[in-house]
Amino acid sequence: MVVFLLMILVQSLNCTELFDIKGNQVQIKSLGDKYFVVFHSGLSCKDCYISLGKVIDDLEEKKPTYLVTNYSDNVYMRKTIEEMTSNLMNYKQLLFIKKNKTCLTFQESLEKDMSPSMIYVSGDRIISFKFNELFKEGYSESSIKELIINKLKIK
Amino acid sequence: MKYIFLFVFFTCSVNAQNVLQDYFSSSEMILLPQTFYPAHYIQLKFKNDTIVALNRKIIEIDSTLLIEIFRNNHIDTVKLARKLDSIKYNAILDFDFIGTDLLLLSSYEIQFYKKSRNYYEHYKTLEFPYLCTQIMVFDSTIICNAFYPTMGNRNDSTICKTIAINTITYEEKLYEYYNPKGLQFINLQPRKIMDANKSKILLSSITKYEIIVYNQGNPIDTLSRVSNFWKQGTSSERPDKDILGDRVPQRNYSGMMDNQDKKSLMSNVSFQGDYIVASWTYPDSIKSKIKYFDVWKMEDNKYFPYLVDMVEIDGFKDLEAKFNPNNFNNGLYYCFNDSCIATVVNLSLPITKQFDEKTNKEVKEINDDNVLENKLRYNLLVRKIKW
Repeated sequence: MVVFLLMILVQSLNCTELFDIKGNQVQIKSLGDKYFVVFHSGLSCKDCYISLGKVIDDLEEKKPTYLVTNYSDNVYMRKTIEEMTSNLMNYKQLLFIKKNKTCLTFQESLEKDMSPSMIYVSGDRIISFKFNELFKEGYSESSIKELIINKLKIK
Repeated sequence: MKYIFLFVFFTCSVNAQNVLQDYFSSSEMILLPQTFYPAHYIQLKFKNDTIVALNRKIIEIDSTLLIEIFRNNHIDTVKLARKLDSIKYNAILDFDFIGTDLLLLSSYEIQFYKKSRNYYEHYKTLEFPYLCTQIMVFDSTIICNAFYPTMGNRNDSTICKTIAINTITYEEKLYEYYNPKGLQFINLQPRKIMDANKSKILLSSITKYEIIVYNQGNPIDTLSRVSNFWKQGTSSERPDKDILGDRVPQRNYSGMMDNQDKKSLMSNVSFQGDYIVASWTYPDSIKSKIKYFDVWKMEDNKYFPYLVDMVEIDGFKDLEAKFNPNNFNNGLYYCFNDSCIATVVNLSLPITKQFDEKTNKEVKEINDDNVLENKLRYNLLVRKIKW
């Protein structure tokens, strides 16, 4: 099951169309070899973004973080998301994902899962962190950190 | 010949759909201050025919919490009574005035403020046990409406209530109403299902075209009609029961989002002088919803359909067309007085005569560039209604 999910994520990431705030397409390769992708589909839990951001900043091995959300044709929407999220957590760049039939599975997981959820990309290796996993009842920054470190096996 | 005539007549009738924006004229654009951002923090209200905008975003300066009010191109600052313990940025829900005194509605209380030289200063707080989200003042009565389900009122027989408060004696009267159908969809904002006009209250269902008008708590009229552009959901599409007593999951947004894409939902009902304006969404295709408007007119204390199935067109869709502010969509939030409609629109520049000859495409490009290079700003659009 886990292997299947990872396959979907790898496949989805490869066929994903990403754009920057100006609407210019961004090549996935340009994101680097190792990075975090935090998925945003709403701000119903602002504290979750704050806690997750602090934990990522606090990791010994620094990796860039990209915040990914759904693409909107409306510049106002894109700018609003940037202005509302930039003070919640540090990220290198806000990226927008465009609806693409070949990437429906990835798209659905972004829309259905509560946000923030996250993946860690290291070359061809992708490790996913579901919302419910990161933000269990009574979660704390240390519980999030422990989970991330255990899954990444980095200290 | 007769059949040809009938065919032509039928075709014309189908195609000649009423467009909402055709009923608007002589628009006025006012650039809102930069601090009035983002749009969902901006609350609008007409007071004595002047449009007033409240910026609900709380600014903290030297441990003092401030919010701003904008009218007649002037900003007034309000020193908030105390640190609000609830969700900081959503703590102020609505506002109105008694004369020059400002009333701020904050969840379970009304805060009263007097205008001093530079600030509105707090002088009184009135608490009540209900989560009210609307406040309106008519003559000597303050009307507060509650229609938002919370964990605290799960076991209440009804959530929808009005508290009418006398402005001199502060005597309170409570009116309760039946819960409208589909109340769980109130969680998908923006949505306005209650409004008041003096002693009258209107309360709309969300999943059914049914608006009930109450007077002093008693139902006096029901506005209901069958529209070709209302798509009724089936029971199998409902994620939750319509009765709130059966516990509605607080954050089952994904189920609701799927559901709202399949059926019509009432999105805004408002009094507008002798009229009631109702708007709802029609799911044209996934992620694309068309907004329709009906206008009901009052005659002999009863409301009748006056203009029906008016479609709101995307005013910027035809990029080659000449730019015309009358064609803007109503934004997330809009409000009425007897003759005007006001809304916040996504234009970040002052609209001057230089825009008169431009196309939608040209205005869009100028605006987009400006948005990307600067802080977001909005315009307040006030249009005259001519129905």
